Amino acid sequence: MTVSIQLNVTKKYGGFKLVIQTVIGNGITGIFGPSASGKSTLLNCIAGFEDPDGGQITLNSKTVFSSSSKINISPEKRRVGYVHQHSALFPHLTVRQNLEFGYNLTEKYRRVGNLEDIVHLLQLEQIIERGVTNLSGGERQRVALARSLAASPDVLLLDEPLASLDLPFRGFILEKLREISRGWNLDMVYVSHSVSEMIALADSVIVIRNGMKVVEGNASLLLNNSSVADYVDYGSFENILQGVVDGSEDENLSALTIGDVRLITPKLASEKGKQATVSIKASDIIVSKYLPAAISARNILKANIASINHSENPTFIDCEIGGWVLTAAITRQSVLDLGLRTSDEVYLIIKATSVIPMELY
Amino acid sequence: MFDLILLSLQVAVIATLINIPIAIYVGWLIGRRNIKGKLILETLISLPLALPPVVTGYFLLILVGREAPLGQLSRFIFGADIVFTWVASAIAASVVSFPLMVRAIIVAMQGVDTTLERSARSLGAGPLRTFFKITMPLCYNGLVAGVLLGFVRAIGEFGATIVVAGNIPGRTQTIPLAIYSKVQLGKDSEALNLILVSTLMAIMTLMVHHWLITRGSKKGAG
Repeated sequence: MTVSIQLNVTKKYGGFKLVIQTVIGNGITGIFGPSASGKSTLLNCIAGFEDPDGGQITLNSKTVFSSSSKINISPEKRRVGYVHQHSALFPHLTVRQNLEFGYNLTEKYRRVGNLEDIVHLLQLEQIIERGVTNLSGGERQRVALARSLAASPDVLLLDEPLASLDLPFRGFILEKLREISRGWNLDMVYVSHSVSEMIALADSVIVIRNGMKVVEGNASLLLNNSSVADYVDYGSFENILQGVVDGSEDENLSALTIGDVRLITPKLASEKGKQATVSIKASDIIVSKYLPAAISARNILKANIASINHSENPTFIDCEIGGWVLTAAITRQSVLDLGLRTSDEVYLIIKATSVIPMELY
Repeated sequence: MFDLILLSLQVAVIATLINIPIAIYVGWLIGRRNIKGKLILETLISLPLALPPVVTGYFLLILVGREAPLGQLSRFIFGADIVFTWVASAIAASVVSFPLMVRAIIVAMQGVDTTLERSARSLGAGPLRTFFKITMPLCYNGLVAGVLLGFVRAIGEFGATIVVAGNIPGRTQTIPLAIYSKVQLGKDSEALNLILVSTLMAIMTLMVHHWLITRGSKKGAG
């Protein structure tokens, strides 16, 4: 692995302190952590929008910040692209003028792609001459991404670029990011607190919490395990499940076979017999001690409690279902009221609409 | 009357032109930068708004009077005094109208989203290009509104002007000073014409100002 970004920074903010020492490799690196954990501050330090109190930042072996050598390269000379959560398009310019802003400032020999290719890649032909104020959220983020690419950056930073988008738009952008990362050989740092985005996109992930690096490694290995309870927000832990499509239930629902279990899901695009991956938020799973009757939820799965992680409230409960594990997040009070213990038999209630097909990602 | 209006416009236009670059710079300092002594600077620039204009005029007299250093400098370079000339009128109008202009510009600059400027920087634009291509266009309406407000205040300036420039017909007498003289002399009908002219000018400027402000808020920029 060739090194892309070397970081060793400290920054204090009132009571908050960011202390990060890490190496970000090539490909797409996810920075994962709850809100206010220091993710955006870290990106701002890399981009040069905020100065660390101390330390050093090296981008592709060029030092852009060093408190000891008094180096602090200004943002416009760092060649770092930045896509903001709210796209930050220039409201007084058209889509084309937004794209041309950085493109025209880039020396010809540095340009990786020409403008028309970028417009085509992100399917902006229809809106290229329009103003940006009336674009939809998905269109805005496509323009924001195109604008960053047009300046041919060496590294692209993305700060929760999909947080305010609906699922289908997310899928398109995630697919394009993967395509660009490979096709352009462009390193990306992707900040998010969504487990499924991380697993769908990141080659490796760095988990930070309270301004400190907690753990780093492969995204799907690291985040698809309830031991991450220690560093995810309540509600943001997701079960990522892979199964085989077992046909359609009706025009809105499909079925997915995972081991012995048949899971009813929203309509899947994959054909019968093909593999598909879905995500279920731990907080969307209801735990019942008895088999519920006359209930609207499409999935009632019989399971055994494999372990209860009492350390946090809400409590993460790993439930075993025919050899695979599903993690539910419920309040500590519910665990006490139901008297749940390891190896108890329980029923997990999941609405079909709580199962999110990852093919949308 | 035509000469009178012309002189008034000359004084107000020069005063406004002097103020624009300074107001943009000070507006940027206060609205966009985290500088030390912001409170002191804000108090200083707003002082002419709070002081009776006559007091401002007195301070100016101390600064540019015949025996004052600036007055002597002017005599040395131009061979002429500043006080009791149209230049003194312009200086008085400039000082008194400055706070109105700069305050509108500060508000406009504070309204520009910093992430837009950051985006421009990460796309390769330096601070100056970012200022002229992003910050300025986005606060353009507020800027023009501030300039108009300053202009309308400059054209109506009376108290500081009469102290530092006097009320000399044909030399330093602007519309408000002429109205004052004519009312004093009981020439009410002549005064009425001038009152009409200055009321019309004020209404027109304020309407353009209002139009710019509402257009700005509709566009969501500045």
